[in-house]
Amino acid sequence: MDKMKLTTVLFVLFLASFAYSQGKAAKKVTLLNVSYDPTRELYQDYNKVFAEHYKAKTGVEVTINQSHGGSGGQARSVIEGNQADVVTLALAFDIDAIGTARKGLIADNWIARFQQNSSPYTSTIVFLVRKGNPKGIKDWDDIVKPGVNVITPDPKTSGGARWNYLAAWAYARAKYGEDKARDFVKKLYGNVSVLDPGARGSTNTFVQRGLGDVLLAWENEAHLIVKELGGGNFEIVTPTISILAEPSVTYVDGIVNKRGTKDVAIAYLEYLYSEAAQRIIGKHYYRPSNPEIAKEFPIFANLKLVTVDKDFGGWAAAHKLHFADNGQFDQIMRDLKKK
Amino acid sequence: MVKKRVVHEPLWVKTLLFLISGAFLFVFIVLPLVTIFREAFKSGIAVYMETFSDPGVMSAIKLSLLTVLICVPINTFFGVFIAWLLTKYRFPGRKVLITIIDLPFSISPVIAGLLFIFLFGSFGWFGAWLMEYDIRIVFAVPGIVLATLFVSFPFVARELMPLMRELGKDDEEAALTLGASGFQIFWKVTLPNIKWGLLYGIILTNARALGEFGAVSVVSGFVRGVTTTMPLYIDILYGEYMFRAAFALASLMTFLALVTIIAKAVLEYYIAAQRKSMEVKIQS
Amino acid sequence: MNIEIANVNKKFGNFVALDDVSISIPKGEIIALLGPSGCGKTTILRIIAGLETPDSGVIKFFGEDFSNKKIKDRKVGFVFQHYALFRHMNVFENIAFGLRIRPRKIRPDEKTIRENVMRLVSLVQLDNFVNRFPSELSGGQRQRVALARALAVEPTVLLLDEPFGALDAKVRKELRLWLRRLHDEIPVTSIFVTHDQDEALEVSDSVVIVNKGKVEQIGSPEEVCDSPANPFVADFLSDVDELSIKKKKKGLFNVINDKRQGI
Repeated sequence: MDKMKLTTVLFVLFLASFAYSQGKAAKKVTLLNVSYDPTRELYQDYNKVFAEHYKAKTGVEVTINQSHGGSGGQARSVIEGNQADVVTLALAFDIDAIGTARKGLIADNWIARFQQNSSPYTSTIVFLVRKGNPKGIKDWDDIVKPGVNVITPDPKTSGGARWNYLAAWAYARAKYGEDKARDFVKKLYGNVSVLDPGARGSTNTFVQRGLGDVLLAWENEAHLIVKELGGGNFEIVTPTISILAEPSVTYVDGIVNKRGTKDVAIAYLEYLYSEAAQRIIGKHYYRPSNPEIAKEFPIFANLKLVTVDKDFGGWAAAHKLHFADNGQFDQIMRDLKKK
Repeated sequence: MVKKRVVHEPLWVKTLLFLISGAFLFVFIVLPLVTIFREAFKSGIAVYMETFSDPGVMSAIKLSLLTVLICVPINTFFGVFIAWLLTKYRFPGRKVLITIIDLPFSISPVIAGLLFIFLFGSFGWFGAWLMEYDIRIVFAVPGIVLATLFVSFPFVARELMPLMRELGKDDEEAALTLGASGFQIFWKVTLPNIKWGLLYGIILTNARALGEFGAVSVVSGFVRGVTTTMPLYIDILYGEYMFRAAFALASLMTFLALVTIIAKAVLEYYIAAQRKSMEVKIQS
Repeated sequence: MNIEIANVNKKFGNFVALDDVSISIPKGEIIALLGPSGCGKTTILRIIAGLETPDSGVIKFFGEDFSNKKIKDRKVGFVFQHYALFRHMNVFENIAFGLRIRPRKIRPDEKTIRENVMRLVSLVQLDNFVNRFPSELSGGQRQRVALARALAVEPTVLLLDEPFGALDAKVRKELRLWLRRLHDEIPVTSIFVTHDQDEALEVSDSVVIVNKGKVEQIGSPEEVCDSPANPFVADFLSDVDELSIKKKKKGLFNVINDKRQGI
């Protein structure tokens, strides 16, 4: 009986799965947007609007596939071969890492290709606490106190986590001076009970699993939870100092040139700066980079914002000092383990 | 101490053992299963069905089923083949092969996934070659199939090896002397002798192929609607606070698992019925 | 015409199983390969069947060199010590197996197969057990099925590897005589392996005594008992009751075995 036939059928099936995945690119224009964790809802909305707009303008039907995860992990997957047409990651540094690891995959001057340093939206770090703020948290000093349980993701994998870390450091440096900053940050991570790999994971831990007293969250996540998902059980506390998070977007030269999707990719990213898109951005609690549109969203509190470039000498330097192997963060974790 | 010859356990011991095992099964198996269905239907049937109108969910189901459809037959075939090879023949390297079969069991699924990245990722052994010919393995469906193939391979082989060893080779040799060809021997003698072990191995392979998360999550790239299997998509749904949908999909996976078990029972019945049909009418 | 093995040598690793073994078996006879455990007698049997290949030497069936012939081309019937019945098939299916698996061209039709099988079933006196499965039969019954199965394909030689070794003493004795009777009805050349001297001497026409891979003596039961070729043979056959054997052999032809059940 037909074991030969069966084997052939299976082999054909296996090859078919090949063809299935290759063929997907040929039939209509598809873009792969490799993004970071919290932007899921944003791009779900935006992709619909963009597809309509692009079809009306050029008649071409675009399908955008999304991938989400911790920013560092997502960057690594692109390095390892995930064929992203565009990357919309948490920080410019992760995009730089792609270009460094694979020469030519992303042009060196990518950041200048779109307005505002390729940041169509910005955000910052705020505190999310439980309703009634039982631990009376008002600022960074309150969360390093003993007995306060802090939830924040792991800076080694999560872009959001690195913003959290630098925001804390910036505050400590401003209030206590540079040499006390490290101890301050150490106290902060000493209070962390769960280190999730991505921002969304930390949110889950705090909101769903009910762990921790305060979540260091992206501002947009915090608003999302308070307004929609938290069931009215949470409040936002804005610290006095925080960091301007400038998530960056760009297209991946190596991929779009090969796939012939460069024009679509550029249109996709440019449209993020359009008024319609900026309003979607604001609706999802990101700060639109267009100052006129930003005025339409008064919920964004005004606070003192430091930036990576001005206050930390840029991401490369910050990464080398703090997040690289054996950097400040690794040392802090080692010290904490010793206790 | 007076030695009592106890032939049966006293009633209280029996009851206690029964209660303990019953409680264990209830808490660790029945309760979670019931919870999955309860959470899935908490907001009503309409919300439950809505889950399956999401194209991402449907593509996840299709991808999982495709993966199972490829991996289970391939692993069954090679599992039987390798078990046969290892029990009927002696050859140099035999012991090494036995150890290799156990590899997917002993390494963490995440490491297994990383192995494929190391082989087929852009910096992997075959990376440059694959990129040149634009062949996509990792972060695409073939990578998912390969990773699943790897982690679900050992079950059939490990079920069959002790079984075949015990059965010995007499039956096969008898069939040889009666003039049977290699294929006839396998189909009419070996296969019926190993069928229950084989079936159980297939069920385990199926379960693992359907439910694998770790290895697949590493090679997937999480491209929604393209490289997300059911377990991955459940993770996505859960992360987007869509709990009803996550449990709805989980309930489907549970249901599929139950179906395989029912299929086994049906097969048992069918084989018993076949036995009956072999009866020869004796003429007086 | 006969079965001949000439100058056969076989080694398993460093262990010499057979050392320059030569045996000639006349057609239609039952011969016994007799010797202590591990002497190589089963190896000889398996080499004749084709289940093992000799390192050197020739195997001839009726003058034709069969040394390189495949097992199924040798047309041998083999009966195993542990029956090797197909446990998922009933008695009928087991016996019919060899006929059913023949290629379409030379396969007899179902009616003929049925007739042949039922004839063999009667021959081994298992008429009422035709639908039973091996697990529902006693040891003796199973071995009779195995015999019928081997005979169904009309082999040119019947090989039996310690056929009664797994049975208890009483059944062994009964089946031994039964086999001799069967051979009288169906005189196919038969070779059986045993370590039981009584069995070998009672059933066989000739005895081949094997020890440590070498043939010590070949002869009729009377010959090997009356004139042992060397001390080993003499010692090996020392507690055989000659007289009772001679009596049994004579008596066999006068007694008709009416037992139809219970073996």
